[in-house]
Amino acid sequence: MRNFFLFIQRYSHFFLLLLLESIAFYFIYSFNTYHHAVILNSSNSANGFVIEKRADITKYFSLGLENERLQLENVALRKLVLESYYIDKGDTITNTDTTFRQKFTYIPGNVIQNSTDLMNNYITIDKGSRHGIKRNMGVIGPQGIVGRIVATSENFSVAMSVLNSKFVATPKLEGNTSSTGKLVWKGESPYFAQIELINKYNVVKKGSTIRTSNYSPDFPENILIGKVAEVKPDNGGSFLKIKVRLSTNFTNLRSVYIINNLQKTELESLESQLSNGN
Amino acid sequence: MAISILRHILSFIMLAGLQVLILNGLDINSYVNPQVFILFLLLLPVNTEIWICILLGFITGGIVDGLANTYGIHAFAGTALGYFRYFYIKYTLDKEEIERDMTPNIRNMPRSWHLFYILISTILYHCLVFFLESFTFTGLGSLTLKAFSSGLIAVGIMLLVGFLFSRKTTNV
Repeated sequence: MRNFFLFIQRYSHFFLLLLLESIAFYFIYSFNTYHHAVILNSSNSANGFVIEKRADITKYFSLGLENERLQLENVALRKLVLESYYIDKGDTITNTDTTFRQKFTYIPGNVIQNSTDLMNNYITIDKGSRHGIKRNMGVIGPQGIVGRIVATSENFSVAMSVLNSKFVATPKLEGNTSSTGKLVWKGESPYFAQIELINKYNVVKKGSTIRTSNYSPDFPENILIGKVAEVKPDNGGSFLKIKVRLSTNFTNLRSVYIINNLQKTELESLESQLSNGN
Repeated sequence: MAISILRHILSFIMLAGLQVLILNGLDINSYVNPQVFILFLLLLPVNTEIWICILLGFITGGIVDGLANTYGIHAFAGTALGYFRYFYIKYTLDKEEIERDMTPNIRNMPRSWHLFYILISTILYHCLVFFLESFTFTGLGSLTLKAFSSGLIAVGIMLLVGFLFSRKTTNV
């Protein structure tokens, strides 16, 4: 013990140095935002490395449980599949195969590049023409409508998102099936869009849900667009100004589905007959 | 004794004023950023106790930090400089010289000793400050260049100040 005190006494100036340097370092750390950020960042990246490695190892321990959980989910989903039902029309039992014909197929994709702060925002998706993606196909995400494909290459495709001044969709108001407007984005906020061309005699409630209508061949009916956030009469005009809170959060978009309408070519050829024929 | 302490305090006020009011306001470019106030620490009497050196380094650095809005950086470097200065003097001067109560200024000491003393301490100090300011190892080359250019300019100013204001200690 005596030696310990002698040691402390002998190197007291060194301990004073350490004390004062740590106080100074504490000041540097806590009063300079830049240094604070640098220290936090480096410690976080070191922590992140350790946590990632730990997760890599520990995920094997819960594989059994995870399998069980996925099985349960599969069962729940299988219950929803159309093949599990039959349609009971009065006293005749009809096979689902002839009543239902598939109209839309979905191609899963991942967003690899995304912007929300420009006037015309585009999304790059990691699936391309090789996977069956064509121009003008609709894109939806888990939370609702996302955009429309504008260009494809072999392995990638680019979609204009709703946050694009050229994007147009036809929305349907809740409980108001007759009037359709036009969904547009004017570049103000990535969370809000506008609906135009809704007649001012319509009653639009704040908070009511907006979904896609069946007018557009690119989107199935009833895909979620968002909720009405604000309704204002257009000054002097005959339309309402409706502000929509978009259901899709474009700032952290990850996985999307590209919609393939199997009847689109038929529809287009019919429409072109109309315009060319007469 | 009291007069000499008063004189040191006065010199610190002058040097800190020169540093904060004039030199920090020059903003010539990032390669010219001399820290001159450390001359106060360098010119403490050679027989100053080590804990006084360290503590004064911390306090003066802290004051300049507060005035220049660089919390902690000068306090850190000043503390280190106080520590370094004590050992530099201890290993380069004879015992009898250290026991004389005098400041290691340009008139008391041999010119070459004084020049090396100021040069090494100042370069060390500037390296510390510039490294703490950028707080990263990237761009180490330009950082060293900045530290050396600012340090050399600071040495020039310190020598000038030394020639103008220091006097030979007579009470040997």
